[in-house]
Amino acid sequence: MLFNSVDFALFLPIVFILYWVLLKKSVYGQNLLILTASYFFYGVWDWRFLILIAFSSLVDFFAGLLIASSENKGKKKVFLALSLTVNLGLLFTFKYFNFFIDSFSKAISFLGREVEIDRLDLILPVGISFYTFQTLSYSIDVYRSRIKPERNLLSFFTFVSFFPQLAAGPIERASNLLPQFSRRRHFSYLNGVSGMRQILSGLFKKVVIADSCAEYVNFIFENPSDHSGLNLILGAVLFGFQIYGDFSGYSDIAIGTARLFGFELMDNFAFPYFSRDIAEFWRRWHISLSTWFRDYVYIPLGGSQQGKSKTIRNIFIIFLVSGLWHGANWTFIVWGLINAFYFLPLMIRGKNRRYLDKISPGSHLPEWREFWSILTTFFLTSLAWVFFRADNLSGAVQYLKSMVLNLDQSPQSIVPNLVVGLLIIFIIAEWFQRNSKHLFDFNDFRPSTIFRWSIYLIATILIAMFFGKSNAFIYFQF
Amino acid sequence: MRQFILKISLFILLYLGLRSLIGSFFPYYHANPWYGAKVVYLENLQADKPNTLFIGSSRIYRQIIPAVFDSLMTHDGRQCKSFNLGAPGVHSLESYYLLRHAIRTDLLERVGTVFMELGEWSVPADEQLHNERIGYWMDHQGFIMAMKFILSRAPKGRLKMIGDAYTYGVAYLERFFGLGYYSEQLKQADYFKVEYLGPGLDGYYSLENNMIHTEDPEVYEGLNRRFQKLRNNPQLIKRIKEQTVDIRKNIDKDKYNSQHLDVISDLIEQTSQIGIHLVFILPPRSVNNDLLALASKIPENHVIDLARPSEYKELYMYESYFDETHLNENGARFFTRFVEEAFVKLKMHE
Repeated sequence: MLFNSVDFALFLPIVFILYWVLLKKSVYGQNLLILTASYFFYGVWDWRFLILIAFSSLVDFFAGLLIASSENKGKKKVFLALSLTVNLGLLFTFKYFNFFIDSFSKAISFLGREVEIDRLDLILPVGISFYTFQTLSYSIDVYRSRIKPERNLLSFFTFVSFFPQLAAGPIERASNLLPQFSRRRHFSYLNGVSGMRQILSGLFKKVVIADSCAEYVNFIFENPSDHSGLNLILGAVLFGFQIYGDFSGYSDIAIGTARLFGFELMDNFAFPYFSRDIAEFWRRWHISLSTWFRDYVYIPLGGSQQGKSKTIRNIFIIFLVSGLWHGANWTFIVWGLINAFYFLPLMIRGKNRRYLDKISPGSHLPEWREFWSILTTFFLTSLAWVFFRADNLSGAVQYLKSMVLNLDQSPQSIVPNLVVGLLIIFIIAEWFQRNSKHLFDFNDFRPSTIFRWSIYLIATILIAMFFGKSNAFIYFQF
Repeated sequence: MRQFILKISLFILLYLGLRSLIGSFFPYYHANPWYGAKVVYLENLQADKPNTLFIGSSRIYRQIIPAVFDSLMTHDGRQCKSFNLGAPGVHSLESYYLLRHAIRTDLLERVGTVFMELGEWSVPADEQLHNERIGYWMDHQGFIMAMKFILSRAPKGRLKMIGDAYTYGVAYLERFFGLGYYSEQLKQADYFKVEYLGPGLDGYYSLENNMIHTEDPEVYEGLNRRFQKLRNNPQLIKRIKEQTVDIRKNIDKDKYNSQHLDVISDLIEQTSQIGIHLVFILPPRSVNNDLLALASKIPENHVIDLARPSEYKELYMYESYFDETHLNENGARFFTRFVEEAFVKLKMHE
């Protein structure tokens, strides 16, 4: 079920009322309802893959218990390996098998030999990369004794399949989310309102910004050689807004929805396009994934503590796997590598933690130097997005080539003024809210009720108008 | 909790108020650019306004030539200025919606006759339904009609009926809340394009002319694909003709949708109250028993049945077709002539 659908608009209040009115006194009842609702939410897309989620949950539930109860470290390792093998095995089979087979066949034929290996005819289950990483972190944390294993099967199953973040994150840590399923939840008016505001913010980003951009991005990326260089630059920039609106929009709706049910999820985006360098960008973009790779890959590999060469290796590894996590395609791997190359100079010069502070605090406009840094970072990320968006490597190279070769051509008018206007308003609104939690978080300054309600109404009208122009969230495919 | 629900409800009410205010700036045909372009043109006409209109799908748009109709009428001693309001992809319920709303406007002020395509009481498929172009006709009355149709449809399983009812319920809510509405009109300055009126500006635009003159490669490809399909399978028209003959032979005149007939009777009543003669045309097409039986139940002076291969041979010749479902300009001339002749006969019987 999509967040931006009437189905969800009907589903959410029904679950909400049952949860807070009928079952408000029973944590067990509420968890059971969330589990049922989550399986329904996912099953609407394809009920067969519920078996996969249930299987993965079951394996990790028992793996957690066995890891914790084993006194022998070797045994612990065996059970951890079991959990990793099952989870990564499923992920590999459904997501990467064909990619590796194709790449292997190509490599062999490049060497002058032919090899034929049958491809698997499988559908990629929605959200598999997200819930796999979530359950992996659980098993690893239990192994590291950072958390205690969950002994309640219902709570664990609900943790894995929690519908607000099941399909596209944020990738939650068991230490944050799991205890919330055992706790008694109370409805709070402030949380309810805050949740609704964040849902509104997410819908605005997805429906008004991302979906509006998608139409023109698709048009430009379809035949890049037909467009002028400036239009191709515009295409890359619009895709930057599309993917940001799409993914951060999803995260906002997920966080807001969870809050309506009394759960707090981790932040996933923090106005990344105002980052002043690439290192800051990666602290603000898809935070739950970046920190996952930091905690479970980068640091165990030694992080930056074992000399320059190993640091460089580790950086390449995490950007490579980050690229691969996004999709079984060389375009994603190259996108990851480009970001590694952007990041490395900062790391080597020890400047990767230069911007940990707020952006232009207490000022309406950025300083020139800051503005220039923001613009450069945005330009670099937009260039890398070309690889992320293109269907294949040659398509991406062709796009970038045409971008340069067609620079002398006069640009065609593609994007209607209405969409341009909305984008400009969106950027300005994001800038003013850059140090808040989301677009409609008015906690830092308290505007009048009339002002706030006018903003909500205008946003809702725009969401309604642009509703249904595009379909699923891009990140579902990951 | 109560405060939260109250505020959400208040917000929804405010939103609905604002939504209807915005909706009031858009005409009833806002999602049908072809029909819209034609109505806007007629509204701006200073003189020589039409007294005869044709409403329907592409079977009207691509097959009725007002200039031919008018000259034949004049030849028969009847002054006529007709206009083709047909638009592609219009199904019966949308046609009825357009007529119901047109009655309330000045569009029909000088009109004495409205010809309307008689089609099946079908409803758009689920996957097509959820966009403004397909669902905008579903006002309260349109929704009730659609639900009646779904509930009265020959039993295809209860689950299917529930599924359809849910889908239509969702589409109705989308319209009610304006989800996906009005943005295209705001984005495109020329949403109602003049080219839809056709070269003679009488609302008729032949498919072959459209294919030759379109600047949109997608439109060209789509039309050309349909054109070539028939060239590669000339037997298609013969098959439609044979099927129609077979159905006519064994027609069960009591097997039709009575609710559809009620809607038609109601429209005839409503139009006659403002002095308009409403005539339904059954064009040459692949028909089924229900549709033929329905045509036979409409009062004789309100229906023209041209889905008769034995009488209207020219309408079932391969040479008259652009594609498997639409006549070419040559076929359209025959069709228009037969409509005019049948209409004159109706008038003589009155």
